[in-house]
Amino acid sequence: MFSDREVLSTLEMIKSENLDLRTVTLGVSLFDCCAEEAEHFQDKIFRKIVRLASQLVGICDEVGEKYGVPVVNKRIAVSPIAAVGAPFAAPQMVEIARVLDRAAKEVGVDFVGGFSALVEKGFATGDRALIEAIPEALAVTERLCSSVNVASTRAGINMDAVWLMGKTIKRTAEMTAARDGLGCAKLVVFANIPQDIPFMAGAYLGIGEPDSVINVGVSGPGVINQAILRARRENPDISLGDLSEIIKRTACRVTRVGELIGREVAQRLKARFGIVDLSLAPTPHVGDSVGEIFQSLGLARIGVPGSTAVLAMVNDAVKKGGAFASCNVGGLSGAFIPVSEDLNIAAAAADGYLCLEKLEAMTSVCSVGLDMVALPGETSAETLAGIIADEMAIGMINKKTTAARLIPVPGKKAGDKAVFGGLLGEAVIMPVRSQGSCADFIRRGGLIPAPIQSMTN
Amino acid sequence: MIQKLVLSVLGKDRPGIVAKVSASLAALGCNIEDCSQTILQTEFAAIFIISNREARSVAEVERSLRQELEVDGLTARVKPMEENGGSSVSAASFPFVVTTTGPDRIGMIAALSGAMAELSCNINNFRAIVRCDRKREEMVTIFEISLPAAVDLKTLKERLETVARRYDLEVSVQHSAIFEATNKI
Repeated sequence: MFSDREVLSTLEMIKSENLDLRTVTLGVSLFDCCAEEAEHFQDKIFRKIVRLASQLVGICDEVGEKYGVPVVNKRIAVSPIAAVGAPFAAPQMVEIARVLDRAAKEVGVDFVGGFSALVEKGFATGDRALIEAIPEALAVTERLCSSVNVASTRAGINMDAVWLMGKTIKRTAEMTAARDGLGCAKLVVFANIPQDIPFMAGAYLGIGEPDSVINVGVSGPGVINQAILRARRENPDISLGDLSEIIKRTACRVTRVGELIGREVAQRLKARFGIVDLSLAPTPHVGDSVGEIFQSLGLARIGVPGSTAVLAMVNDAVKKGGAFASCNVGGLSGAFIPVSEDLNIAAAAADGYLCLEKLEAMTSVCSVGLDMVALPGETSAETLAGIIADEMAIGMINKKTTAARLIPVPGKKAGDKAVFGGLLGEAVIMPVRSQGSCADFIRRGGLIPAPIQSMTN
Repeated sequence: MIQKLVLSVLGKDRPGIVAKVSASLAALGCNIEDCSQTILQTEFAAIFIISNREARSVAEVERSLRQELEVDGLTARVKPMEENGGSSVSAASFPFVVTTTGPDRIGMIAALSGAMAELSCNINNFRAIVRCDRKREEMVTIFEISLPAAVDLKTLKERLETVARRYDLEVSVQHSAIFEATNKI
């Protein structure tokens, strides 16, 4: 028998506080599809994805109905195409991208990730071909996402890759200029990329993962925010330590939802259950904001002094709650601060409270990095590379994942609005200080060596 | 074989009721095998399953208890427990929680429980709460039910939503595991 409080609090989380299962992502290994002929490879990957994923959407909807928790997105993550498609050249990589996009539409998922390369130590042939193909691949597809890992704590930072990605992002933006550089919203550069992220655009299925696996992304910034506000109403003098405890317990409850649903979906699909990624991932809907949490914790707006400390506290409490709730917590697990995808964060940036430099500082304590940051279209490839290099350094030195999803919006300048639509939202373009002043550093290339923190044996 | 009896007690709640009832049963040589009690607003209600070890008649047990309890304003009723006392609910069923929120209207609970009964859902626990913490006063009903395996969840939801529309309610039907997951360690 459940108490009234137990029933009502669970209902409130779902009905009024925007708790949902943000994504169920089916990882599909494509290593057994390797082939010498491109058409043969394309045919094999299409048939395998459709065979394994044809029931994914239906089962997610049924399980969501059973528990009264909506599964908002159903997605697929595949093995890094640069590895499984290593024999192929850039034009063939574009065709592979089209096939993945077609497979995603066939099974009804909204995104497929894994058009990816792992180049933290250097490039293999397939890596170069894939990266060369990225701009066109993202221009001619709708549901494809791409990621490139250019750094790790064990390997260092591949600065050749960093510069190449600066140039790739520019070309991707140009090829999708009519949509404010939308292609760049589906491309992420990583340091220490986890191989089981269920969220896009970074999802791919890493080597060492099973043939098929279900990874779940739960979210719930609205639930966390309401828990904080309730606690403050009950005790206006509540301390930060006690608020941290509230966040931790709420994160625990939210994670349990993800595990319950994820395990049942995996069991019905006859796939392995992988991980729950408890990330506070906002959407542009009212009441579903990470930025609001900052205000509920006492800051005027996200971006003012104290923001990094608040984010550190929230990120840590979320991780602790998630770790208690499940033995299988993975992916990114923490708090996201995507500028365009969060109404409150976008407004803080537009109103001048949140600048690029403050965002960078905050990425040292959040679970991802510079996310959905719209920049002036004239930003050079070298400057983009410099921003990426800074982000990669934070990840490499601190043994954490960091990422950069930068969108230089063609034809627009700082203060203009970029509109990406749907969950990707819209944002005011942020200024970049000192454009062009890092070109000499970036063009040197090479590898920034692995730091001493990597010597853990 | 020792006969089992069912005792129900109703009355205004105050300290000492369970003590008095259990002492009276002990004096009659009856052992309490199981019991459940609840307090609703100011009223006390309890059910006891008792074993009639001294083989007294049902009428004697009931008369004796009433004499003891009437002085405190409590009513008691005793009946034999049916021999095949197992629940008539099929073992093949799933635990769900039905909740409604909306204005308190006469006939609402009858309509909701009627819809569930038509589909052979057994109500294992039910309560109604008035919530005054909203802009308007609302009644919340919580039914913990067993949904027979043969009944489609969609069918139950459709029937309940038909009732909900008639009474201006929001209704949710969720497997009880979601409440376990979010509330129990």
